[in-house]
Amino acid sequence: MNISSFTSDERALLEPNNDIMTTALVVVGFVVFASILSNTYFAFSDNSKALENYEQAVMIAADIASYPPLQGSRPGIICAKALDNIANPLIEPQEHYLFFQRFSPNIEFYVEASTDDGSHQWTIEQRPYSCEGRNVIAASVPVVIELGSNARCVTGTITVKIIYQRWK
Amino acid sequence: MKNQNEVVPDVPKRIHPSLSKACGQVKVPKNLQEDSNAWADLILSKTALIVASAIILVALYNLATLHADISKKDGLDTLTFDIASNIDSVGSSPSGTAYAVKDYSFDAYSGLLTPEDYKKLNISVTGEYVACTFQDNGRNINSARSLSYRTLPFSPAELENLLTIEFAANGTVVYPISSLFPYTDVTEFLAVASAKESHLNIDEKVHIKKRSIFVTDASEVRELEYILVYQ
Repeated sequence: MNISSFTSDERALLEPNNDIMTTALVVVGFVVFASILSNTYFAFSDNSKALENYEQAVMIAADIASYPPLQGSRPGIICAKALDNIANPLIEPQEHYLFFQRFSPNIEFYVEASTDDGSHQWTIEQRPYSCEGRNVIAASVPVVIELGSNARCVTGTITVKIIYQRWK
Repeated sequence: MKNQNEVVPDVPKRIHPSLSKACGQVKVPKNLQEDSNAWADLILSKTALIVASAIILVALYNLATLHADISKKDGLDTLTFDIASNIDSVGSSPSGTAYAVKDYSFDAYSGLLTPEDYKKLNISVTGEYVACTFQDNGRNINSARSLSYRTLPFSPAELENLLTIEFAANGTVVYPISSLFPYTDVTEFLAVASAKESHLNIDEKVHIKKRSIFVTDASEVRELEYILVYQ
C-alpha cells in the first residue's frame, strides 16, 4: 500500500467523521486504562490479604511451638508424647479441647507436625475440614522434637494451615 | 449580476453514502433524499460527541472519587489491622509475662485520615472482630478484621462481676467456676456476653490483657484463656 494513496486522496470519506473516531479512540483508551487500573488494584488487594493471612498463620505457628503443654524436657523442645496426646482426642480429650479453646472459633485451621526425615507425622485438627473450593494459607516454624523416652531429639517443623473462603 | 435567462446547469444532488444505501431499503421522504445540507448527519455526530464526552467526564469524576474513597478505606484498614494485630500479639504471648499486657494508643494513626474523619471514627470491639467506621458524605466507610484469639470486651472487674452473677464464682484460681468438661456453660455464656459491641474512645488508651478463667470439675482445675480489651 502506497502512502501517496492517502495523501493524494481528496475524496474526504473519513474527514467528516474525524471527531467521532477520535472520541471512540479516547473511549477505548479510557476503558483499557480503567481496566488495567482496577486489575492492578484487585491484585494488590488480594496480595495484601494473602500477606495478612500469612502473618496470622506465622503467629499461630509460633504460638503453638511455645505452647506449654507441648514442651518437652527443656523449654523450646516439643515433646512427641504430648503431640501424640493432643493429636488424638480420644486419648486426652481435655488437652485437645484446651489446645483449640484459646483460638477464635471463626478461624478454621489445623496443625501438622513432622520430623524432617519424615519418620513421624502428626495432624492436630479440631474437626475434619474440607479445602475444596477454598484457599489455604500455610506457615511453618522449625522446631526440635523430642522422640520417645530415650530423649532422642530430631529437627522438624510445625505447620499451621488456615483455610479461607476463596477470594473473589 | 446574474442574468435571469442564464441556464443553471443541473448539478447532481449529493446524498450521503449511508443515506443512499438506506434509500434502497427504506422508503425515505423525498425532501430528505434531496437535502444535501447534511444537518441530520451533523446533529447526530455532535450529539454522539456530547454524550460520549459527558460519559467520559462522569467516569473520570467517579474514578477520582473512587480513589479518594480507596485512600480513606486504606487508612481505615491500616488502623483496624493494627488494633487487631495488637490484640492477637497479646493472645499469642505466654500468660503471666510482660507481653501479655499491652496499652494501645490511637495517636499514631491520626495522620492516616483527615482530622474531620478522625473525629468521626467509630471503633468497636466484640468477641469476634474489630470494626472501624465513619460517615463520609452520607456514606458509611467500614473496615473489620476478625480476631485470632477469644476476646472479651470487658475489664477484669466487669468480667469477674459477670461470672460471679452467673456462676457464683469469679473464675480466679482461688474461686474457680464449677463446670464439667467441655465447659460449654462457661464458654457459651461468655460468647453471648461478648457478642455485644463495645465502643472505644479514641482519646483514651486501650488496655489489652490476657486473662485466664479457671474452671474445675471437682477433681482438677483447668484454665480457659481469654483476651480482655477495655478502657
